[in-house]
Amino acid sequence: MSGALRICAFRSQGWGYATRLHHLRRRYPDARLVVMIPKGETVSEQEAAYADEVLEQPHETYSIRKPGKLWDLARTLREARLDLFVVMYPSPRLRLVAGLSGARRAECWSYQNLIIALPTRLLPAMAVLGWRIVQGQLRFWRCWLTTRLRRVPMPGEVDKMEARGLRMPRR
Amino acid sequence: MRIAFVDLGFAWPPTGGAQVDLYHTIQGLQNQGHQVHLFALVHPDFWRLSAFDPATLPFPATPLPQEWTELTPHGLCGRIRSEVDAWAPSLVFVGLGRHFKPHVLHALSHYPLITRYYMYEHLCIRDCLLYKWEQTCLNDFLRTPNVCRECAVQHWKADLQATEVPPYTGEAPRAGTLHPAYHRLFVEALAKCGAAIVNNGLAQERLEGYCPHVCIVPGGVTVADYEHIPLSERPPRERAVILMTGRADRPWKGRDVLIAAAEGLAQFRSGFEVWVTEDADPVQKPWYRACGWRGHADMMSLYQEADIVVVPSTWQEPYGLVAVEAMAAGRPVVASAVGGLTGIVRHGETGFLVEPGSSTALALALDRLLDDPALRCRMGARGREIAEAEYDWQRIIDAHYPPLLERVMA
Repeated sequence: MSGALRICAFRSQGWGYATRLHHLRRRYPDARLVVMIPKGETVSEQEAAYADEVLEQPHETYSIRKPGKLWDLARTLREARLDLFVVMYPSPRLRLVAGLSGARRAECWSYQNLIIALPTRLLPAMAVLGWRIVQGQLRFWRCWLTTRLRRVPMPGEVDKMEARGLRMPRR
Repeated sequence: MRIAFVDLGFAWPPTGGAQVDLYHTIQGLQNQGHQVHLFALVHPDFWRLSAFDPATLPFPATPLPQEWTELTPHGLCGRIRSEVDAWAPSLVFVGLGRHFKPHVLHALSHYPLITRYYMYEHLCIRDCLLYKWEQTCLNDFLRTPNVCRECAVQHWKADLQATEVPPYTGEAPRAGTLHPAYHRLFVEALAKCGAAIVNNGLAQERLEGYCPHVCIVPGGVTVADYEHIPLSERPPRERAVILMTGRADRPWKGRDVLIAAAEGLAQFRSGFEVWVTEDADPVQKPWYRACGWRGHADMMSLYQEADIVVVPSTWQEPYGLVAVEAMAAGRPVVASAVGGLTGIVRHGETGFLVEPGSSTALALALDRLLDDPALRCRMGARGREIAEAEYDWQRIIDAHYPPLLERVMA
């Protein structure tokens, strides 16, 4: 088994992880498949059937705003010595994670459900991610200002939840 | 009659109950002798959302490929209107439309219109759930639009800021949902519809006064598809299976209530297992099994394995198709007394209705059924009878649609 390709399938939020494992196993029947799940989660029966090894991520979520978490993830991935790193979507954040993985190459599922190669160079990945973060902030603030400054003319409108004193239940 | 169906989220094989509902409605009306045609958007750049092959459908359909990122009200409505006009229907039925639905209804308002709301799309622009702070939301977009717009933006904050905007959230700014004029458009579109179809009394009550006619049409199942092995004829199991199906990972589906009830039961009795259709295993208990997300065909065999089916929803479940499926499979149902479930489960006859969110009430009902296999058999058999008599698709279409079509055409 030592010569087998080591493939890591990185589980992130979203549907169809088990289906993706199924496709991966068909595409690389002899590879050693490492299933990487977020901290605190477990693998289902379906997922376990495809996994040769289960690896827990050091944290539940990752963001460029928390480089410590990304560093922990990069260290875990590099220790796993991967040949191929596979993520669920071609999103900029997952592209960055792929860049940090240290794997020789990376692949992902496109939105058309095709497996495509994912560029793993770190600097372009970070630039794309940074630009998308700026776009996201602009998008949110534009929506926020629209709702605050441009009201629907609705005299006498009250929040019925607040009027009844209802709040988010405390845990 | 020539009936055009317009849907912005149709997929086959289905990825949700709304698509199953539309499919059977079209097929049922075709069986009644109407000429039908489906016009549905397909998104080549987003494979999970809506895709179908017209050749696999039993009715004529035109897929309208549309790049998700290029969706605009003007472009979309112009396209749909020209396709529908070319077919020249006598009536148009608009199914799933999410944020773009008022635009589509306006564009097709020169025809008699029927619109179908599958969840609470007409009341809750945020996520169609009408569920806030773990309770039924008292606000709705028709009556408190500004409150709902602010609520939506706060709820979507992370999605709007994300590097990849999820499609449903991304649709809202494109459809202009947050613009003040959208509310007027929404109200006017409802007024132009001849009828609106909803799933339960809550949805109907809040829509009254905005649409000329609001009616409830239940969903159904193809009863013949459900292999019926009565519980009395099935080899006895060492441990009775309590099954929860559907998207159990959603907090409002009440999986945690079921787990709490089962933990209580496990303290004084054994001989049962809880099976839940989810991928991850939230509790490591000997009686708990996460059996993974199942397709429609797999579900039928799973129902046969079950002794009791549980629907512990804590929100106003719009319909509760799972309960009908369980009845069709001949299994007793323990469900929360919420939304459409109250009309499906007959308390003491086909199962039990319990107080939503109460693990004690759920545990008591389960305990009673676990104690009494004969009661399980009786309730399962009665459930099957009712499913055959009332919830078969063709029976639903035959019972509800002829008077509705007549009314709208008049």
